[in-house]
Amino acid sequence: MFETKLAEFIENFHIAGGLQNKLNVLSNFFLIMGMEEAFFVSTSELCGKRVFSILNADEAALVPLTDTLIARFDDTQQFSKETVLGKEFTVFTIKDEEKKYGKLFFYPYFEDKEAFYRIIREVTVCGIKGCELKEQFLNKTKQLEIFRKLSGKVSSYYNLSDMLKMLTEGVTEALCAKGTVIRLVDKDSGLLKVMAEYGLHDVHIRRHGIKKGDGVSGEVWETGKSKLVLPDTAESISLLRSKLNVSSLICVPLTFENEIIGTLSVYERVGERTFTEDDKNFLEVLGSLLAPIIAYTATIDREKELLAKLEKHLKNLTLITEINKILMEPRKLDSLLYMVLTTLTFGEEIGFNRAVLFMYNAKTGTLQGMMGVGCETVEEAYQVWQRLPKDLPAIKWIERLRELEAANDTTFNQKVKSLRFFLDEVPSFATAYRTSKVYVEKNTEDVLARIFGVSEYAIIPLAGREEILGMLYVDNKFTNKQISDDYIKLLETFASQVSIAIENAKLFNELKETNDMLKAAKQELLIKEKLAVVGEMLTTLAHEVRNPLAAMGGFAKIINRRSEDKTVKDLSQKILSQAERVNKMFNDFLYLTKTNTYKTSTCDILQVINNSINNLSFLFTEKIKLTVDVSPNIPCIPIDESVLGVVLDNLIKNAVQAMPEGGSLVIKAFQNGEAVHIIVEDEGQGISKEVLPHIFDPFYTTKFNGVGVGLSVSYKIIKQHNGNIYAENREEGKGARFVIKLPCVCDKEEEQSLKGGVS
Amino acid sequence: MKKHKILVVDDEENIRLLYKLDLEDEGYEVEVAESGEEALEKLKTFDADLITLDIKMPGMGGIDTLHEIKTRFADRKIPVILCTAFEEFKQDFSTWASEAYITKSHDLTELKETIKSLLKE
Repeated sequence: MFETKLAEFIENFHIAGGLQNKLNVLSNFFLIMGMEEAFFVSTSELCGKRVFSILNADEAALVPLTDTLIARFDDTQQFSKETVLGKEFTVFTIKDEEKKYGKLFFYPYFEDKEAFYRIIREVTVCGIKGCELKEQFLNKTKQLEIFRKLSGKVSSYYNLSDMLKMLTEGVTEALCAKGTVIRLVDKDSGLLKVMAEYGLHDVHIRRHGIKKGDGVSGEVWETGKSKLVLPDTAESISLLRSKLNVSSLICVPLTFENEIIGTLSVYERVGERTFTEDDKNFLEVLGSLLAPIIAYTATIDREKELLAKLEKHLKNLTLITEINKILMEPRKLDSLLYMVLTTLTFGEEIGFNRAVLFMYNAKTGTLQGMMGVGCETVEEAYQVWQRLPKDLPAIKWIERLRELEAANDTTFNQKVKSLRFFLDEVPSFATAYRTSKVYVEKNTEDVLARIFGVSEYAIIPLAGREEILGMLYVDNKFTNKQISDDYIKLLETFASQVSIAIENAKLFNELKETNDMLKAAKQELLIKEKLAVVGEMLTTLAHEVRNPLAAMGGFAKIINRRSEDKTVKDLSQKILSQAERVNKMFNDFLYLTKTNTYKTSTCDILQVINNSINNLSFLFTEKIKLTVDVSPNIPCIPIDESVLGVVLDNLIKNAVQAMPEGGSLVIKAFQNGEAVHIIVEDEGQGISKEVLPHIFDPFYTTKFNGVGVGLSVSYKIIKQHNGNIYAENREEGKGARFVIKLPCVCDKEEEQSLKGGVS
Repeated sequence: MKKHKILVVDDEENIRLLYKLDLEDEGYEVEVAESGEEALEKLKTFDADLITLDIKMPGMGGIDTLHEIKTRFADRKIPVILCTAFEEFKQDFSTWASEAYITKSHDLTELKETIKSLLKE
């Protein structure tokens, strides 16, 4: 009877599918055998640590004891006794050569049924093992299915982020997990960054990049070994504490060509059991399969990115060329500067949020804010950008922006104009000045960062031919876009063009000024010319009128003098005074015109001597040896150059004519006290004693051809200029010497004012 | 006392008359000429102690006449006073061969002073 039941049990046990069904069969059999209470504590991978009630067991009371019951797993004996909840249970271990599956507890124990217990144990072991194998088989099948599914899908993606997104979803589903995260190593920042995630909306995962060795992912990245965190372990508790809000996870490295390119993390298994080593193994395999695909796609992605970047650069270059054309046109400096700043804030690529120009004053060593393009607040920026059309060609765009800004001088521009720094005051300026290169200031709180409310900005020095012209400042206050190396190269190219353009504009301005000046001068000349014409007319008129006027007045005076008649005397006096009045009027007019025609002047003696020599070059034959000795720094003297020239012409002419046989002619000039001496020496016959006293008399000449006024004219000229001129025979050797002494202007200021009077 | 003789050279009849009247009132013997040519002719017979010479005259101008007087009658050393309505002839160096230069005016005080000082020398 019992044997029949046993056989029936064994058969049913084998037939039953799944652990729970098998345990039900066992439950029935225990009941038949007269058991009162029985339960099974599982440690198998299939179920994890768990208590299964078989017969009348109080599961709720037993669950908290799970760990204790397992810990007391004494598998040395076939049977053992253990007191659980006040009852002495008989326990036997379910295990085979490979592993343990759990413990079977039952009560009471019947001594005579020991053989059956052994059979039950064998059967149970076989059953559970079978279950497990089947489960494992199913699992493997499922995993293979997942591999197939994922790999099929993966090949249809070309975009990395889409592919990773799909993978996180697929892995989450495959492992019955709460969610999945794929992190990849970002080569630029050197951090492990989240690239894709799924199902983790309420989980606090670190999205801002993880350092090597930091947290679970960081540890996996560092060691290259997979990690399994199970619930109720110390690590799990720390996970819960770290706000991650999950109690279990698996994290495997993604390795490609011996390099860890990222990690794959799966969080919290949903359902009865938790993660197992098997799940970990599965993920490892999956990771190793996915890593090359991810790496490959990432490369393609990067190439695409590079291509896009190249395209953008090309666009920029086109833009810069366009802008360069505009810059090179001659235009006003301020108009040009505006163009420059607008260009810096233009377009997607260069497109800085704000640009400011500081002009450098080399004398004071200061940088003065000149112009700012951009906005002070986000709202303002938004408004401006909203009002701008999006698809205009570059030039139209700049013009449009200009209209907008011209309409209201922005607060930003006003703020910029009030800024003024010493070069040394701002380190970033000083660095850019020293290196003449674009300088990017990051994570700074310096004076510029404070004023403009940013933590990152770039300074572009504008180098002129000789000196730094100024500095351009750019930032991305509103978009917070980083200033990368690519921009810096672009900015450097741009800066050199801007520098040239600014120099051009400066030259243009100078040219314009000169042109204006010339125009004004021309106008003045025209007026003077007119005045001269008027003066000429007046002079002619004066000559015509003065003679009869003089006669009228003169006769009136004679009448007045000769007449005895009082009335005749009075009336002739009246004629005289009227004539005087007209005369005075003419004198005044003539004086007016004269001030414009006659000028006092100072003269450069060396210049005058050279002029005279040139004028008289026809006189100098080979026989005449000419020596000119003018001491340097000789002061200018207050005499008109043409007037002094007449004197020198006369003296030189005389000297040459005194030496028909040839000889040495020496012209010397030097300062002696407050006078300038000009000496002309010849080697002629000298001056005879009879002639010497009369040498300056008019029309006195020893020459046969000539009226002899030359020396007397020279005499009068020199006398009129408060100078002195005399002639003497040279003591040494033969010949005559003429000496001119003219007072010089020793007072520099007076000299200046005299010079000033010329113009 | 012997009267000093003055030759007045001027193309303007009224000026000649004025100078003649005024200078005769001063006690000089006055002879007139209406051109440079006439003056040079008169000097051959008229023993002038002083000449007043207008610069701007038709035909031979005052400056040329001055040169002629100074060369032809150099030995007589007759002082010449240049008279003109133009201040600016003072700037012309060729006028400086004359002994004096005065601007024409109805007021002959300056002329008379100059004549007096030149005749004293």
